[in-house]
Amino acid sequence: MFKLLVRLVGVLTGICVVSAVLLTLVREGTKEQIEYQQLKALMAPAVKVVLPPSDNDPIADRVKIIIGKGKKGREITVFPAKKGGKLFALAYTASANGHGGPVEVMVGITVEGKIVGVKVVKHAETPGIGTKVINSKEFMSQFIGKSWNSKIALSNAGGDIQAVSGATETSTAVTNAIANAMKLFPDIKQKLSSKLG
Amino acid sequence: MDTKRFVNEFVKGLWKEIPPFRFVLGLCPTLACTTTVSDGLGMGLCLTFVLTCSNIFISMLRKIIPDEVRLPCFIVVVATFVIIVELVTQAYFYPLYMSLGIFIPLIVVNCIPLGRAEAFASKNPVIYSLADGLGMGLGYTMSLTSLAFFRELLGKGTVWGHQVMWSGFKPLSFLQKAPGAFVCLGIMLGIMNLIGSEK
Repeated sequence: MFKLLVRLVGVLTGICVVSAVLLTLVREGTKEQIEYQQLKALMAPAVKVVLPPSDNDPIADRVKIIIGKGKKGREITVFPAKKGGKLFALAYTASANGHGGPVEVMVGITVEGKIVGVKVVKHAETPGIGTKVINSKEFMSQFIGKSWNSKIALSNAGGDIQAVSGATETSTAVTNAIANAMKLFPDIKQKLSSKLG
Repeated sequence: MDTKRFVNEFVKGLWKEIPPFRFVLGLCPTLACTTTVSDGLGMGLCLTFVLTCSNIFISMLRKIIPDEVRLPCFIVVVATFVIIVELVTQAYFYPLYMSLGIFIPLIVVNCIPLGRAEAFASKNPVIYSLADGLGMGLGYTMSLTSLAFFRELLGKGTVWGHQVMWSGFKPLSFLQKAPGAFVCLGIMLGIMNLIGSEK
């Protein structure tokens, strides 16, 4: 009886262990590629909008940069755009709180620090109200050409960005997210150039 | 190895015992993953891989696995290969992975791999189990692809995403929905039985 029990448990455990080892190997082998595919599906449309045409594939060349120190440190994925092997623009996301949770905005910015494109990549704003802001080309185009060190704020907060009427909360969230992204720019640029050599 | 038997085990899955039509097994993906030919073919090939690999392994282990715990053992083996398929399609065939979605992990509970393990691989040598798995898998792939072919052709007017029907053609969008899948499957089953019964 005891012998049988040992055999039953032993065989099943053995099969499970072999299975676990095999799956770990496959998982490790496909991890990078899966991350690339997910990023491509989620980020590629946004990257195309916010970055000017480049020689490289910004998603394949993505670089992970750690911003902040210790516990506050977080990882940001930066998509570099190169021409003739030289970095000329980069894109990354930042977020700020909106009406329905965080609004994540991807910002395309030249190495000199000028915004060339913005696009909301993730949000949970109210359809028909908050989404008016997200889909408004007019609102989004107000950010283009701004420099990283200029003031980025709505007109009611002392800036020169006109909010979409009736959707101030989402307008604020998008503006704050872009302002947050700009705050990170010098740090990201420095770390990116040192990583790219 | 007996070549004649090998061929026999392989060929039986292609017609005589073709899984969804003769056994009416594995119907969930048959109905859900056959709206386009590419989905049907992709699902079929995923299942073929799982079935062949699990058949080989279960046949190799058939003398070690005690009868009392054979079902959990079979399920672990099947599940392992399903997860491998899931990871690989996610890494290299992302659009297919997105359109098959939940139906890839659901291969674990598909009757065909477990059924073949219980009915065939656990009683037969490795080489014949391989033939059985490949044959059954390809038979399943053929069934899914042909069902998907009719559903896509008549339901959308396309084949493999290309427009093939004349421009004024009004697609029978009913065939793209679940009830249409049942009707289409039923008609095909009927035709198969008609041909089978003449012999």
